[in-house]
Amino acid sequence: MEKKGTSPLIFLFIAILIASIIPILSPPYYVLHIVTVSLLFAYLCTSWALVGGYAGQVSLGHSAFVGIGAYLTAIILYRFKLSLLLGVSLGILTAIGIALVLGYACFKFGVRGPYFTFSTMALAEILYMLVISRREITGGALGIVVPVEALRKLPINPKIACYYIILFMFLAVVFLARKIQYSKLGYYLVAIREDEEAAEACGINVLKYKLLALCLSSALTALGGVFYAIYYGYITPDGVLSLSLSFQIATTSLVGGAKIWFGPALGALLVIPFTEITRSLLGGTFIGVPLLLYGILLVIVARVAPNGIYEIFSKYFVKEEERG
Amino acid sequence: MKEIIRVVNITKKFGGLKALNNVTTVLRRGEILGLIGPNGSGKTTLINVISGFYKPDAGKVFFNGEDITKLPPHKKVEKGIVRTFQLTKPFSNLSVFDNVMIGALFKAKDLLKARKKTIEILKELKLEKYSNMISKELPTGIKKRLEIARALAMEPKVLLLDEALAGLTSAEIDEMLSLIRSLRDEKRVHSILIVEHVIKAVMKIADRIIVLSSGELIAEGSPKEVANNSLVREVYLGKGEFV
Amino acid sequence: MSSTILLQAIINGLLLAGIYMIVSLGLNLIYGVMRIVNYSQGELLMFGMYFSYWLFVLTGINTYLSIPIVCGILFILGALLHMYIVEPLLKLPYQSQVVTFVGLIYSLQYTALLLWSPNYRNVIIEFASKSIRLSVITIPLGRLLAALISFFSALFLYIFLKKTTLGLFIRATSQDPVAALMLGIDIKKVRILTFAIGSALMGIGAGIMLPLYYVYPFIGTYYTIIALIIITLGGLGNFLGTIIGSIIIGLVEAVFGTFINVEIALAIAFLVFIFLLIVRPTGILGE
Repeated sequence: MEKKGTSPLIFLFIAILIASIIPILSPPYYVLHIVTVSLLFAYLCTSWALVGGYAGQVSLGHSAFVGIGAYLTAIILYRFKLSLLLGVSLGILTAIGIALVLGYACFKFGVRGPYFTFSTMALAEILYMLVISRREITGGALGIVVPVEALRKLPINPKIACYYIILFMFLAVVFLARKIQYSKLGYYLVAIREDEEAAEACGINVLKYKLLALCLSSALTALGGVFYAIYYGYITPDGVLSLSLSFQIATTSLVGGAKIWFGPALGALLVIPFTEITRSLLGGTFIGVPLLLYGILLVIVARVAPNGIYEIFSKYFVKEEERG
Repeated sequence: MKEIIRVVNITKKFGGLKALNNVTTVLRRGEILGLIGPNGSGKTTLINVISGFYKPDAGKVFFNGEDITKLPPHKKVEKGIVRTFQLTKPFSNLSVFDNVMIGALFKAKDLLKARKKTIEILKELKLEKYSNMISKELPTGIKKRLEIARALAMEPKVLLLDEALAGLTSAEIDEMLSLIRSLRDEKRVHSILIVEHVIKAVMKIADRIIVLSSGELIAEGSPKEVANNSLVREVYLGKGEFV
Repeated sequence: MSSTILLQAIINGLLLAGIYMIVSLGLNLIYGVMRIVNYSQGELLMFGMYFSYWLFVLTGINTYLSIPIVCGILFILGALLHMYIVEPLLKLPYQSQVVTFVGLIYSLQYTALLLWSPNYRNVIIEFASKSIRLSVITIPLGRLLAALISFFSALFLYIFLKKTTLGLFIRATSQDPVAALMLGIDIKKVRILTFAIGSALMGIGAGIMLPLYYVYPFIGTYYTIIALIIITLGGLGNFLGTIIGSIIIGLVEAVFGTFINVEIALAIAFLVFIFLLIVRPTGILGE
């Protein structure tokens, strides 16, 4: 828990520098797209890790929060023609509200571990079903358009604007994760993850901290959903509320290393470009290959590096800081 | 001596079994109280009730006159009641240092102060050289000391020690006993309730002893009085620990 | 008028329960012995359906008749999966188990996608498409056959568990692995056998479902989730509970689905599921 040296920060700094100038180099559309999607995923995975990695409450239903952010934004903009800000605020507040309700119901009554995981999956499925059945508002299974006037009025290419937005969001969330990890909150979440009873015996209000982690994670994830809606301009339940999305967010975080601030980002920034590139190279007949390889990777990493791939890197790069 | 904890008519049932049956007793300010009894007599249950891990089916727990019966464990810690566990519960994958830090963060205003306090406590309990070791890899004796170190980091007023001596060598037991005694003598802690199986050790250190058997309080008094109590001897008959 | 509809809905629900039952029993058996939820149960069903499909297309064997063959293939597949992937999981932390199962799900789904394309496939079997009319009720034969085969399979499974030595070993390991070990039972072999049986049961599910439903690489997850709800409802590891749970869920889906719509019916089922997790995680009949 003590700071493990500053080398990951250096890497991050270099990565940020490179990332900031990519659009200026006028790359082909799909390169910008892959980096944007990778950053979005890195953002979502880091947000997930606050509750799934730090606090150890594994959620396989985080697409619920992505969906809340995306759909509320879409509905406010498309159906009610109101402001984006309203959509964003409503999305975040709703996500927090639902997280509070589900979180309190579960954590107060001892629903933990796999049972908590099931409840998050059920939550995502409930929202999925609701969206599909309320066709008039949500567009049902076909989805809904997200018209963002503000983006079109900007002097720069909307895709480039989105790129910088997600880059900023990503950096903000990664720095937040780092700050939390090395704070009292971070220590307390780790204690809860390791042994809830012992944590209580150390004066930690386990219920409060679990709720805090879940609500923070859900709010950030919802904001990610808002970005998703704005960036793609069109959302469907299979895109933002699917079990598969939840699985991907959770497993990518865990594969990178959900206990440490740069782990999920590492996972996302390795996995997403890999799958996107293999998908565009192969496509057609070999359409299943990227995710098949991902599946195999998951099984291997779970055995070989249960704390995440960053463990492999940390042996080479990171030094222990002296205590004193 | 004023009393610091009073339990009144505590009953705790599990299914049909009464683990504690109408137990009433006090812990006085400045005393070391020993709690003994055969296996299954309800000693740990009583600790769990006092520290908030169990809610009693009947009865009340008072701390300095205040009714704290229904408070959850973390609130009991806020009041100053800290317990250790019979089977030690360190945060297994964390280092010794981080374990004590988590305790220290309870009272300390910020990370820096918590770090300082942690270093002091590790030094005091002679755990410095284990500082960076992962706690699940520690031998039992060190784990027990870690458990106490973490508890001390929370600046407790009352310490509830659940079998802190189990699994220790005689040398370790003597060290632990003098540590416990010094905690009270130097007023680091107001009072200590020590649950123990190693009767000889408890006799040496306790000012007063209470005896539980099958969930009921069967004897109370000075170590000598309790040792001579025929009911107590009967309950321990055949266990050979009283010799 | 609407009481006829209700009656039809109830019949549909009972028939549906038959299908859910066989999948749930497999999941339940594995959980009972290993305390692990086999998230890839649905994918095993999916593979079973593809095997059944190809047997039909290549050799003309009726899906009902090919059940023993498909069960055999799945039994071996299940045993291998357990030995190399699931058994090592038991010692790993929960997070690793989640990652492994998701990895397994993806691996199975996308292997199927690569091998057999995303196209929906199904099989038309003459008699299964017919229906019986009992006064005001219509009973599709395929569904009736599915439910009957499923109920009888459950019965055989029950007899196997209660009356045979192997069944006894399985029950012992499920109740108390340590005690079973001390009695000389090779619990590792029991676990392999259990996973293999749990997988083989999907062969029965495949045979009865293919005439009724399409198969494509991603149908599995839905059934895994329904099965999960059912076994939680009935009490994790509880055989009878799974049967009762299947009937309840089948009825809920059919009745609510008829009178409101299917999506809301399922949303309600999920809500009840969450409620159950909170209020009585040991289910209706307890663990």
